[in-house]
Amino acid sequence: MALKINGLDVVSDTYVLSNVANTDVTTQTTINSAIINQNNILRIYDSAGTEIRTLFCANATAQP
Amino acid sequence: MTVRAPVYMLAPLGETYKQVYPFSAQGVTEINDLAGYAFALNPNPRIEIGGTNGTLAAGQPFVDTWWSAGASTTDVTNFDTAAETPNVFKVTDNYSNIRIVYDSVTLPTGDTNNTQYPLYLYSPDGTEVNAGFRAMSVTDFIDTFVLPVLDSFGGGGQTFQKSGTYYMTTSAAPANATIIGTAALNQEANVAAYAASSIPETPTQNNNITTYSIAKVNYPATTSVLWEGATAPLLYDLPMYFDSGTESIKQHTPATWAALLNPFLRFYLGGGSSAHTISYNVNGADGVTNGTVFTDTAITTAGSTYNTRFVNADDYRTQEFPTGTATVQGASKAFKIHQGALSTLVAFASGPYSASASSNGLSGSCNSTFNVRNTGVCDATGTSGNPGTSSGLPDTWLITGAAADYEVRFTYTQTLNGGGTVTSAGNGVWLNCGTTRTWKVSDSSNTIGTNNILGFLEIRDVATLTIQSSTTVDMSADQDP
Repeated sequence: MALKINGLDVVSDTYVLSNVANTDVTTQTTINSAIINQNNILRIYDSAGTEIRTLFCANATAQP
Repeated sequence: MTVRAPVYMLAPLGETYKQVYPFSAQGVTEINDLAGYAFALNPNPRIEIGGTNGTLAAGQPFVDTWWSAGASTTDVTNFDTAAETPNVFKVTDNYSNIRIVYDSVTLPTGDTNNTQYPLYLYSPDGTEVNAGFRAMSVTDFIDTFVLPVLDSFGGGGQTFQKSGTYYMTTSAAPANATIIGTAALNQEANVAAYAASSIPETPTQNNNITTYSIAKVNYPATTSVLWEGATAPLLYDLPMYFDSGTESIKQHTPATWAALLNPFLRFYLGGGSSAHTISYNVNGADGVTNGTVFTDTAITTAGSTYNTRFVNADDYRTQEFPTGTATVQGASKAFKIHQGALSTLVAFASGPYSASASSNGLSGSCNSTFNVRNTGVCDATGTSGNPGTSSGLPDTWLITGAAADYEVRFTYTQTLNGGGTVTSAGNGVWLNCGTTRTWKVSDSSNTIGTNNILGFLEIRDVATLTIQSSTTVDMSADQDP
């Protein structure tokens, strides 16, 4: 049975998260940590060789 | 020297999404072909027509000759004879319109946030764990994108890679170029415009046969092979960079790429590196012909120029009209482009010069004469006395070209302690070298003491007024029995 709020599916019968309008800090942190755990890292170095950005990326296996 | 391979976005074959790839060597060459586009947006040097900026291109004027009708005559009894009728006459127009302007620029050395220049693939320890993008340093940028392109601007021609350079054309609307202005005209008398039945004709009735214009090579960026087409997701395959302002990775557009590259090109090509500096001249010793060569033609008289018109018994008119066919006048003149150091055309190579004459205790007048001759030689003559000596002389000051294209200035002080005299072509004034210039100090008196001229000799070219060489000259005469 789907989980509904005001008649709208929030979690469907097929376990699809739906109609989420926003996320709170805890959820954001959780999602962010999940992405970090994938450990797909893109590092940006400046011309002096100093790492100035470390970007954790979602794994997109569909695209080699 | 470190050449880097910048990265860009490219769709794998058959896919719509894009991936990051490093440019191949060919890809870097294609980027470098775009240097002309960047340079053309604000070239240094640039050419202006007329005005007062910069200096006149050496070798001007372009000389245009044409023939004008003579003044008409009227007589109440009969026609004036051909001998009595004013002749057609030749008119000469001189065009010195081309000016070369060098802006004083400095080599960019900054690196905003150390992220100003393109990204390349980088791993500090050679492993994929720490792999990423690193911004080039300014030195990397110069080594990769600036130094390799500098030599491509010389040599003449109107290809994409020559954008930002100038050439001479007779086209009013040349393809991939912008007309800067008119360098010269070639006019001829419009023979068909003169009619005996219309005497008195306006003396000057010309056809403008050819307009010689200076044009700037000016291709659009879409001519580059990096152009992906207006409907592509990315319009150009240009390097990516890290925009520290928006904290995002962006791909250069031709406009941003030109803004980044242009200052470097302006420095190196505009005088910052003598080996790469672009210059222009007319018929000079340096450079190659760039564009159409100027040729002056004029209607050369063939047959009678004498015409008559009977108006009534009290009005007999005559006038001479230009007639004949067009022939080439004088030598052609080529607009040239040169890259690199200029040849030395004049020099006081053996200076400093001195010339002295002394009677050495014997009687007899003494003369010490220094000449800058219109044959291209400096020498000392008339150094009579015992002995007459000179050093550094004779010397060939004109290595190539025409003496009249240069001016000499001798700025001196004279000390006449021995009753001597000075004969001078001028002190501290520029004198055209088309005429031999002479300075002489003489002593025919018995007064004890030396007579001396000591000064600074300079030579400059007339077109640019740039001093080409200088040395000191020391002349003395002492008649001291």
